[in-house]
Amino acid sequence: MGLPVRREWTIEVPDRPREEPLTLPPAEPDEIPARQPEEVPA
Amino acid sequence: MITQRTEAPVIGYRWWRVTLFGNLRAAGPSVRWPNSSGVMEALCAHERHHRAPAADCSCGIAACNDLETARRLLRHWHRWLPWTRLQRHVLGAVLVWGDTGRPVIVGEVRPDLYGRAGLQFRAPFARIVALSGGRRVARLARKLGVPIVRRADYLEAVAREISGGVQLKAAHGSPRWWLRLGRLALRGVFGLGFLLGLTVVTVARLWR
Repeated sequence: MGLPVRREWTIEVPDRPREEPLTLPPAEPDEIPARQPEEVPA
Repeated sequence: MITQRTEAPVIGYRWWRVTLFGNLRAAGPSVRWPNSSGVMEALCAHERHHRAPAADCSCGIAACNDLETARRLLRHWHRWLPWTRLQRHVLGAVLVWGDTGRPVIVGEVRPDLYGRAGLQFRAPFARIVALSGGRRVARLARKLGVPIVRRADYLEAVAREISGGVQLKAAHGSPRWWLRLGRLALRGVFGLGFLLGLTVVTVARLWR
């Protein structure tokens, strides 16, 4: 037995907080220097 | 019927009856709170074949959007079902949410004489966030693993802090002064009538 209600409507309610869409950080340039080919003695 | 959307579960406030064995039971259909999983799911008690809550039914897990409306609902029960005054009640905060095709139904409660409106939820799912009460309720809260506050007034702050839910607000109306004055006048008339009757009876007895 509830209180008298003037009007009703519905709300969609998630069971857990909706998370912000993941935004990945911009890809950093590869800082590892390219490996030089080793000199092999003849 | 308008459909809105929230970003998180909704905080609600409700009260339960405390049994002699110290358990919580819903005031309407005598369902024990909470069940083994801690999450309550609404079932229609009217033996209708629909998923609760439904717009054309009164089923669903009931909760109010604020403590004042929950207290108003308890007073409403006490007024219309006077034997409930003899029962022990506990106020608490819950989180309510829905599912696909099972939204939470919100009812806008008619404003009282002071213009205070409120919202009443009928939800498919709920779980207890916090309870309020003394030592006996503390034992129950410990058993359920939920926090307890000594004064019910702190429930809103605690629920907002720990639940991660959102609190919905109702638009309040203006106070209806004419109704308040009318009620005051009616009480005055009844009070005067009672005093007059008492005086007449006393004088008649003394006269003999």
